[in-house]
Amino acid sequence: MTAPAASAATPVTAQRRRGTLRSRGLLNGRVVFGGTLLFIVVAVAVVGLVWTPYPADATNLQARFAAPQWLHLIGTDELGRDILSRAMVGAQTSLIISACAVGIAAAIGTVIGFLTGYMRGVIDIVLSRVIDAMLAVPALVVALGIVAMLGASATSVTVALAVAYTPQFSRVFRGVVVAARDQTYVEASRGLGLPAIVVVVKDLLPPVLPIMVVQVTTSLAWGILDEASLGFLGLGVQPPAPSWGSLLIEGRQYMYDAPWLPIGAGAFVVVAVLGVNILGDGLRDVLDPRAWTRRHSYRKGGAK
Amino acid sequence: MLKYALYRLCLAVPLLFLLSILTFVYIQIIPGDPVAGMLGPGGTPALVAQLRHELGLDQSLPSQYWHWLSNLFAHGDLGISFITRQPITPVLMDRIPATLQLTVTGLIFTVALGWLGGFLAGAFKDTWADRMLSGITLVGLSTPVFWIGTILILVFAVHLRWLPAGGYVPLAVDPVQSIKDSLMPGFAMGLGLAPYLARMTRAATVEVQHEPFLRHARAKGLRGRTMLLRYAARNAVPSTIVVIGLQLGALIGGQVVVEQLFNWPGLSRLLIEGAVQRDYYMVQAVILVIAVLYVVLNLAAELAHAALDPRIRL
Repeated sequence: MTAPAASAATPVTAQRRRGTLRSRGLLNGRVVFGGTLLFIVVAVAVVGLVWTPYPADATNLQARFAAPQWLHLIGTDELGRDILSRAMVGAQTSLIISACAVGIAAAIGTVIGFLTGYMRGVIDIVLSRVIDAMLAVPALVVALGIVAMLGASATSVTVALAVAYTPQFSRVFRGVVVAARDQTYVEASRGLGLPAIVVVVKDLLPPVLPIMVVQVTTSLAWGILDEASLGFLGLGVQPPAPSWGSLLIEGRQYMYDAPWLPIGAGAFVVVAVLGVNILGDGLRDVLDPRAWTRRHSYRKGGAK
Repeated sequence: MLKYALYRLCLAVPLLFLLSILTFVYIQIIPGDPVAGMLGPGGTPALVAQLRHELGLDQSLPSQYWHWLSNLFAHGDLGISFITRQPITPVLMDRIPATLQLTVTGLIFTVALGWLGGFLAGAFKDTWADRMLSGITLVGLSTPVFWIGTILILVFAVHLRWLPAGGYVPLAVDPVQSIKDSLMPGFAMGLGLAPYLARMTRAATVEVQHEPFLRHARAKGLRGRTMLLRYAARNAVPSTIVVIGLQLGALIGGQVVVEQLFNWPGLSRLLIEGAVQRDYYMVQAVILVIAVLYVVLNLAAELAHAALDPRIRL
């Protein structure tokens, strides 16, 4: 983004924004704190690839329903499997599912956002109305409907969440593109006779990127929550394969005898989502122009 | 006001129409042949063809859609269940009182916690109270409903034995028990949604304090408390009503989890059961009802906002 060749085509406002961004500092307290939490969760998942306190599927009938203790930090389940080990392995599944779902949704949402925002016309009218209609159904309900269609598995959860999040991405990106396409610098590029694809990539993508970062973080938090929710409802990754969602439904059956099962697995979800949310909040303050204008209209500080 | 109401209403009609098309299409894009799946291994091709005919699935798509829609409007008929082969509409109607009761309880907790927390944080911006409330809000945003609900059950039902761990009695049968039953699920839902409302209320309260009329009031020497309650709160509230309307979708989504956790026989339970058993018509019907509820409630919230804040009607 800082290539000198591109600066000829970038507008003054973008340069000014870039200055603000640098002086404000990309690394505010919340970005660092949220990023650290997220890093710890990802690190736990990565460590789980090569080492866990116990093998995730190793049963130990002598240690069934062991309460949290030194040997089993979050206790064990009905087969004596170590919850911490299972949650570490499950973290991989959960994080991969949410990341893939959000990635797919962002990619499709970008394409739809640009089609509707830049091309306008009939495509815009039809697609925008379809997106309005989809937004009238809560994302978790859309996801439930799709899992019902495809059957419960890791793949269908990923597809379901991707479809459920796409409308939000399309809506947000369309707004940014519509605002940008009437700027004089875009008009200039079109006046030069540049093909649409060049205009989109060189002039319209840069203003979308910061908002995409913010939207991706927000959706990632939802992705982790919704994967776990689907699992809790019995429609996510199916036990005995570990994921945070599947651990929750296993834990639910024994929540009276062994409350550490649902609480322990849920705590991983809380830490992960908290990290992503704090990171997203910090990034929004730095990157989202909508948050700046609100900030500048106040005398000091800013409202979230 | 009437003109504005009519305008909003006109916008909602095509949306509802499109929703009906989308839910209809949902059934069409299911991979494989649901009818063959419904009959299981015993379904000979002749039987499958016969059932397809009975269900009207051998007609053209537009004619199927027309048939479905006209039945829906003329008789409120949402088709028959794939699994039980019983009409869906009466089953759905049965569940609506429980769902409404839970929604209202959840809404009361959401509004009470969200408005109070958001207003206090906004009024005392940048003080320790604001920082504490904003911290709680952020943790609340990240806490899944099933987690907080499980902890509530363990504390209030298992440990303290104050409230039942789940179950439902209709309001008409035993009002006291019914309200007791709905307290915990409603509170869990409120805890899940109040953080959003608190954030918006905080932002609205902060914004209002910079309006010229408040600067004027301050210049006149009005006491801080009078100013906050009579001027700031009154002007911050209307814009949060739209947020409540938009949050209804999340309220319904969160309800799916809450109903399952507290064993509450509402609409969402039908959705989950339908999804688990792959009862496509049931899933389709519940999604349609939820979407229509959402559109109607949203419309109500926007009209309430317009009624409370004349600036919107312009």
